[in-house]
Amino acid sequence: MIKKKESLLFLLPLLFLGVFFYLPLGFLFLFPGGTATLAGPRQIMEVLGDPYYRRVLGFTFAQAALSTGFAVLLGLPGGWFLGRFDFPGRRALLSLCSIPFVLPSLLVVLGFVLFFGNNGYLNRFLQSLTGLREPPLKILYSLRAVILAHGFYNFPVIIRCTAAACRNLSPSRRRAAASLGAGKPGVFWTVTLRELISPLLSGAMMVFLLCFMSFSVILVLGGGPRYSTLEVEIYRLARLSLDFPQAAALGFWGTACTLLMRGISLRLQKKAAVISEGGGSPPEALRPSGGILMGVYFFFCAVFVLGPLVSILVNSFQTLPSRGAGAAFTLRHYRELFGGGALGGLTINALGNSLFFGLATALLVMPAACLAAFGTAGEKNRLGRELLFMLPSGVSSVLLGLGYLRLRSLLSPGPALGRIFILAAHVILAFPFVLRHIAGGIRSLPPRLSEAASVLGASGTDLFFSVRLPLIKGTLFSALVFAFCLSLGEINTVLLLAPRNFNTLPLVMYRLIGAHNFYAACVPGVLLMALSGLAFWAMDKTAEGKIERSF
Amino acid sequence: MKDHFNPEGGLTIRDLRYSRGDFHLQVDLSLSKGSLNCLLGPSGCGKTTLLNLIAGFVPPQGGEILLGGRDLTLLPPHRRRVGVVFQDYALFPHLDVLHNVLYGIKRRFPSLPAPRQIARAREYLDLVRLSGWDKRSVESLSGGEKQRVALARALAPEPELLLLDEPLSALDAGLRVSLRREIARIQAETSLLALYVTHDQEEALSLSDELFLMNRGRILQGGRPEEVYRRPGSLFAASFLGGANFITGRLDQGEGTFLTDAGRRLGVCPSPGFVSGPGRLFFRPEDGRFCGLPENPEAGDFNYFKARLVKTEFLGAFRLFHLLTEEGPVILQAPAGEALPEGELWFKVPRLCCLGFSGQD
Repeated sequence: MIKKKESLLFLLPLLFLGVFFYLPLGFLFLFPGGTATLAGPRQIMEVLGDPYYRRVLGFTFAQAALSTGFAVLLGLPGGWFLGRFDFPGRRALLSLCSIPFVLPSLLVVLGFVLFFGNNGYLNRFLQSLTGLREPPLKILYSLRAVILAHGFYNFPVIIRCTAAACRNLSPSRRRAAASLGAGKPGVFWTVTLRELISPLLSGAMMVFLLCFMSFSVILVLGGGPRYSTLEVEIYRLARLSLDFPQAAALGFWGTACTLLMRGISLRLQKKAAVISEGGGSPPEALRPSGGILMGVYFFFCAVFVLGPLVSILVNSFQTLPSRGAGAAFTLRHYRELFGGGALGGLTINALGNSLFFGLATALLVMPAACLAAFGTAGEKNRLGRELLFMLPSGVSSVLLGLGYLRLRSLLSPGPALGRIFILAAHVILAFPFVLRHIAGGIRSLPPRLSEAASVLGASGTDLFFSVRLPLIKGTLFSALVFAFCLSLGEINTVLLLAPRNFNTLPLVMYRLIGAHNFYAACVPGVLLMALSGLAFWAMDKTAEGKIERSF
Repeated sequence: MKDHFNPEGGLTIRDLRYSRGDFHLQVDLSLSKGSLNCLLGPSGCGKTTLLNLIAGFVPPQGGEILLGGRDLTLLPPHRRRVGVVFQDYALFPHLDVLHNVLYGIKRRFPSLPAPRQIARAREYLDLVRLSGWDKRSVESLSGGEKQRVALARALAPEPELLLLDEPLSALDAGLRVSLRREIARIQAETSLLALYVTHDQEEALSLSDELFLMNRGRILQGGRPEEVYRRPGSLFAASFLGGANFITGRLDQGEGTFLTDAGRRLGVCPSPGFVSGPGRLFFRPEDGRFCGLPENPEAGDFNYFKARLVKTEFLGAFRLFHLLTEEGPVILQAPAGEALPEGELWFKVPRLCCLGFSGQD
């Protein structure tokens, strides 16, 4: 009896997804507006026939592949160091590596401009070193910039995967191979590599997906139509050309690719989990020579990863008194938080909005995801339901925003509607990740504990509150914080749906960057950074913050 | 709480059925009140499944379970008043030792004032000799200590039946023996009906008031441990519990004799289901005694065998002698100090200890 009631609970989140996800997308594809009445098979196929869009699709894959390759190259040594050796600060470094999951991409963009830009810190440092007049590194607004930015902000993911894989290497399997006659290279090829490859591929796939769906990095750092990806192209079509059918058709292909890759990613994760079973290598002590190598490696990582972030902080206190002059210290941007100047009080308003939307997203998505997770957890044939729930993870935020735009054009557009849509979009976007995170937590509960509690007299809600809930408290909290972070840094749907005079921190940043007012853009950047940092700290505290498992 | 303690409370299981794939369980079982019963069988024989059925974790496909006259068959686990001690302890990691034990008390006796509940929990911690461990986190305990907490937790709500699912198999040998005695002591003190599942023969033989042998989803034999050991009811029972020697041949029901393949006629005790035809003669390694050349190998209360020594195995208190007889290989067990007779090697087995089983596999 109890079972039946429990399994009906999942209908509630399903209803929510139906109204705010399946309905707008269905509308977008069935009635895309414009001359076409249907972004049906014809339009969808035609888009592929267009050489321009084919090139966009190709470039999307190419830049993701290059970025992933770069991230793997950067991350492998770090993962090896962190996985194989024990040294002070190891844990701290490992937990720092999950920063990319909470860091808003627009911060990456801004930091990148300030640090790697023609007039950025790196170039100025190199100029002072070499005495050159021209900046030696012209990186910005090119494919290189995109790949560097993606690489630098995703390689920590590779570090974590590699470190975990190294830690899970099975010494007895290695010894078995050696006792059966395999030499050192033989052991590496036949055992170690087999054990490393799956987790590594799974991490690489995750990075590939993040780069494939990346938006603001391409939009700003790519610097123009030459480097347009699917996401950016859909945005341009919808926002600038108002060509909804074409955008929807492109979105269809983006979704298809993403879902396919998510499927592959899930398989790889399962495989990696199977391989890591029964392993476990205790870390070794680090030799001094290795220590120096590692020190150099992590020093450069710190410079290139933290450098851009520190630049944002430093620049937020600076201003250019006149063109060509050096930067001077100022608190002006912070004073302008409260009114006047370039920011004109925008930021404090945006801060309020960002906080509100972040909290509201977190608070709305949690009950929905919890109901869905508990509703599907006990079921044997849950594939269908899980698919329904996980589909939003295959749809890009731009496409979802587009769906809302289309829906709005059919409703009477009030000023409140945009905000509701933004909130709904954030909830929908966070939902699959939060759901996966919680479901993973539930799955890791030993079933014996529930049985033990039930023979001791607990049942139903009592069982839930006395055993299951306390045990996944940490998971729930990190899921909550994760949802907050996703909403905090989200800009795609905000760009598409924000009503006039509506701002969030990333949106203010985006506008100031667009106006090349980098110094002022640093202030919302610092606020965003502080909030993300706080969230990251809170998540790290709960120890169960293994967010990457949810991707 | 009116019928909480039922002195008539035995467990009766009638035609309990459960199938999954090609595994079929069908069990009839009756346990008398206050007894400690062991369920012994090879892994995969269905003993844990039977336990799960009795605890209510798995619904049966037929039959009924009665505990002290109450029909448990359709009750959910939390209303069965059955305590379970799990192999992997299943302690609640978010609760300390005291609160693990309190968990069941709070739910079974909700109207009891909190201090009384705590006092009761402490009583049970005393019983398992963990007084003063209240505030310890369960993660910090050793395996043996965890199992004591688990035992106290299972006993504290005063169940009518205690199920123990291989509770000691995760512990090392020495601890297993001492904790086994502890469990026997506590069961005797509480005179609680208990069903103890194990695959460890020594555990089963030493603990049980009654021992039940299980194989392939059926209970094959039950009874006092000596009885089951001395009078196994089937070839499986004979070979699974303790050491066994088998000699192939033909049984003759009328004469009560056994004609070996080598053509000798031996005396044999009938076993249940004993019929004339191909069969096996069974005796335990410790039942044979070395002797000199017998005067009349065909007569008397013993069966005599001429043997050649193949090798000996030293096992501390005793020695195993691997012998080859006309009837095939045989293993005998004798005290380590015992000397072999001079000359021709013979041994004798009391006819009362030779059981005949029909069938040869």
